[in-house]
Amino acid sequence: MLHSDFEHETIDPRIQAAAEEGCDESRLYINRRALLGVTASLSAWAFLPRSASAAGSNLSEKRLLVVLLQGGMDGLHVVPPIGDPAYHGQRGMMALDASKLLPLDPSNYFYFNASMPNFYKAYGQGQAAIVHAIAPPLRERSHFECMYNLEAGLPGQQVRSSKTGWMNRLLGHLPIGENVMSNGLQLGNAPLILTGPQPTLSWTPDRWAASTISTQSLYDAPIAPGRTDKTDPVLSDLLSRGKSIREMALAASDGKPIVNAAFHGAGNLMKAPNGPRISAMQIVGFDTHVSETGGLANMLSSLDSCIQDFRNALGDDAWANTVVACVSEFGRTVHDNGRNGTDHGVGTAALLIGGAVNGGKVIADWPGLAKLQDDRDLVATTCTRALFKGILRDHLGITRDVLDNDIFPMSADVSPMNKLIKSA
Amino acid sequence: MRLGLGPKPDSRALIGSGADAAYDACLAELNNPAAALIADNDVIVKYGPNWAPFQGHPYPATAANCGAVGVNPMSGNFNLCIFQAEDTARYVKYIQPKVGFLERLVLFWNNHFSTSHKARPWLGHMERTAIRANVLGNFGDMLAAVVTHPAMIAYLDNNTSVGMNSPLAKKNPAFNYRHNENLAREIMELHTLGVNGGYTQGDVTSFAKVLTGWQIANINSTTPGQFVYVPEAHEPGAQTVLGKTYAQPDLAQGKAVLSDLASHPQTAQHIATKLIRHFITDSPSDADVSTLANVFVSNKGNLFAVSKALLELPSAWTEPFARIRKPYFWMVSITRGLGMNATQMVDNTWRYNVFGNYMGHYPWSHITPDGYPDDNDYWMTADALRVRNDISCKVVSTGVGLPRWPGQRPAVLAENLLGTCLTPSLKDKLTASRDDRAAFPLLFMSPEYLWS
Repeated sequence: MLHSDFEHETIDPRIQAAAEEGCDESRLYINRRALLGVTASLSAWAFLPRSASAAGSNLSEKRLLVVLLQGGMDGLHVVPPIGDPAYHGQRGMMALDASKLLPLDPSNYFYFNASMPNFYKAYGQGQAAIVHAIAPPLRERSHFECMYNLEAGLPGQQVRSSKTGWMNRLLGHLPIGENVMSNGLQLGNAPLILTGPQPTLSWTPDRWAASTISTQSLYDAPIAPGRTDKTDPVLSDLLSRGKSIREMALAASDGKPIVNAAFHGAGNLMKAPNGPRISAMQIVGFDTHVSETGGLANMLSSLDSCIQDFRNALGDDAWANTVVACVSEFGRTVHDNGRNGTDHGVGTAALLIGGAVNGGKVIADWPGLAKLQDDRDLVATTCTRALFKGILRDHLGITRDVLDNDIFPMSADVSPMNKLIKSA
Repeated sequence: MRLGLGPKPDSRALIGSGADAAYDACLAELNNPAAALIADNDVIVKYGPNWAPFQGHPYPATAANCGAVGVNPMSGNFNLCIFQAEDTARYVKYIQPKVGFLERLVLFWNNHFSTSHKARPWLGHMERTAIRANVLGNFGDMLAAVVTHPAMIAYLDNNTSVGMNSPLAKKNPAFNYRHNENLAREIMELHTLGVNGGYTQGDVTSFAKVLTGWQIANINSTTPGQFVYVPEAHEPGAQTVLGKTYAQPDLAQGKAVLSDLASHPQTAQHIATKLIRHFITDSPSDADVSTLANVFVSNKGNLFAVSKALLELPSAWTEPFARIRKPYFWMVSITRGLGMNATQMVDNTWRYNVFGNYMGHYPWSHITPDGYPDDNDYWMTADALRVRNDISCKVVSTGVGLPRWPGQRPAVLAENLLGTCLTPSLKDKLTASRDDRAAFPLLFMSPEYLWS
């Protein structure tokens, strides 16, 4: 099939070739990859934080990108605790061999999956950290409920009682500076984590060269002869803002797979003097009920190259003030499910990377694998709210009172994690 | 346009202009449920590698053919070929009805029972045999047909769900067989009761055990790739779900649970709310929800009655057009507006697939089983409108839809399609334009086309 009027090929030709030869694994990959492209758009706060924008060079402003890994990432497969005496026995067919992994600590307790070489390199440079045995407070093993809980930032028992996400509530506590993009604001179309009264904007990577034809003139035209009001001011405003956002994100992303272009564009936007500073992205495809070994390797490899593209676009100076936090809604069953896969579990790992990250360490109050949650899952000893609180306090200067009562309501019992951020 | 797929050339004239004309046109579609059906022989898979069972010849997407492709590791890209043939068959349906209310109901249920690429090659077959066949039938029948379809079994991983105390597990202790909760959980959370429907983790686990052995027949079976009940994999014994004990043997146990879930009052509430949120408003009134839920209950889940009641909600006709039309429906409305014929629809299906995925809205493409949301905030964004602007221009620049309709000029077409709804500013712009490549995007990006 030659679809020559679409300039951007969305699938890696090597994967396509493998798929046409009938490799099941790569077909799975294509599907995930294609879907990744759809969902990996950027959502961001529509303001610059004032304290930051007043600081002189925009490159010194603090940046935060939260990446939601949807589907329940198997933390034990990404960061295997090979040194845990119960590891091989409990893990069943999913147990990995240390010789195919990368060591993370001198005692050879935790290892890292070899599919993320860039992350591992940053870890060695002290710019990446791992928080293990972590989960949102709701332990129900439902994608929708646990991701909702993670994004809403609520205690575990507060099911579906919030219409706003914790990042949007965070924005309400940052001093408002100039508008991002300078021409207006927009509510909505963010994932829940950024949904709320604070305005957000979003951007999706191009699939082909954009048309020069615009329907803007229709919305701006007088609605009828002799009238002065626009035909549709709402659509007019929307479209003009959509075009501005795209212009910021464009630049040097030609030829990249869509999901990589999305992260590249995110880097461009977050680097720009008037671009967003607080953003979120989502990646779908971590729900590894089957074919986990190959499927997760592909997902991790993609995530790793995406983060690298983001970092390259952002540039070293802005990267030095950036935290990227990759979190998932739950982990997976410790034991395999008999089909080279795992089912919904509890504890997982979170990945932090960025020049501002106080990295080079695995942070865990390790519960051990001898005793499991409900005899099946890794116990989560750290709450995702503790991780976010630590980042917000030390990277963005949010006070404990605000963290405990507004951004993460009813969470006074959850202490912020310490020493996640370099300057702190 | 709220209840349908957008006007076709001359459809306004055919529907008429009386006070009840639009209602009558929708009702007429409900009175002809057979119009929703797509036969196996209307889905012809035309190409693919030279694989022995088909030898490159065209073949219909029967259960047997889809199944053979689904379970044979040598089938290569055949599942993609079937997907494309299935996808194409729908576009031919979209251009036929005057309003498209029945097709919109099909799309609603397609999204309610959301599946995605993981369930190829059975996706289209499930929609045709489980959803289209029951779209105005009984909800319980639709639910049972979906849950016993290999598409849903594959999508929600039930094929690998084996009871820990089943004969199969006892015989092969080294395989660590166990039940998989995915299908059971999503049936309760998404398909029937809804997330706050009053079930517990214990109910999910019990229901998952009930569904053990509901599988897809393997390649050596007489019906490869079709639904099969495997007694050796079934967790033996009675299970308690939502406080009721189910002691039936084998398949009957699960059928009984499904039947009770389908007729549960919480299910009626959940379905009623979703229908109103999909078709009318982000914020359904309690009165509307209870009207529709009561119809659901009193008619024992009869979807003709429920759909007719939806049509008869005053809010369906009086709620202001304040939500942006969802991208896929908008794209289909363009093809209808341009008066495309069946051949053109078939030839351009692959393009619609690219457009739909760009806009993030395409049947069988939402990876999570909750389907696409109905919230206006999710769809109405600056970036999304910019993407639609690009697509409306791409439609024209690639010649996909330059009208073969007599009359040709955009202003004439717009008046035919929109009648008295055509705003003067749009009419002026279209009349003044000397360049159709710039005019057609205006028509389809107009407020008339975008608001719903």
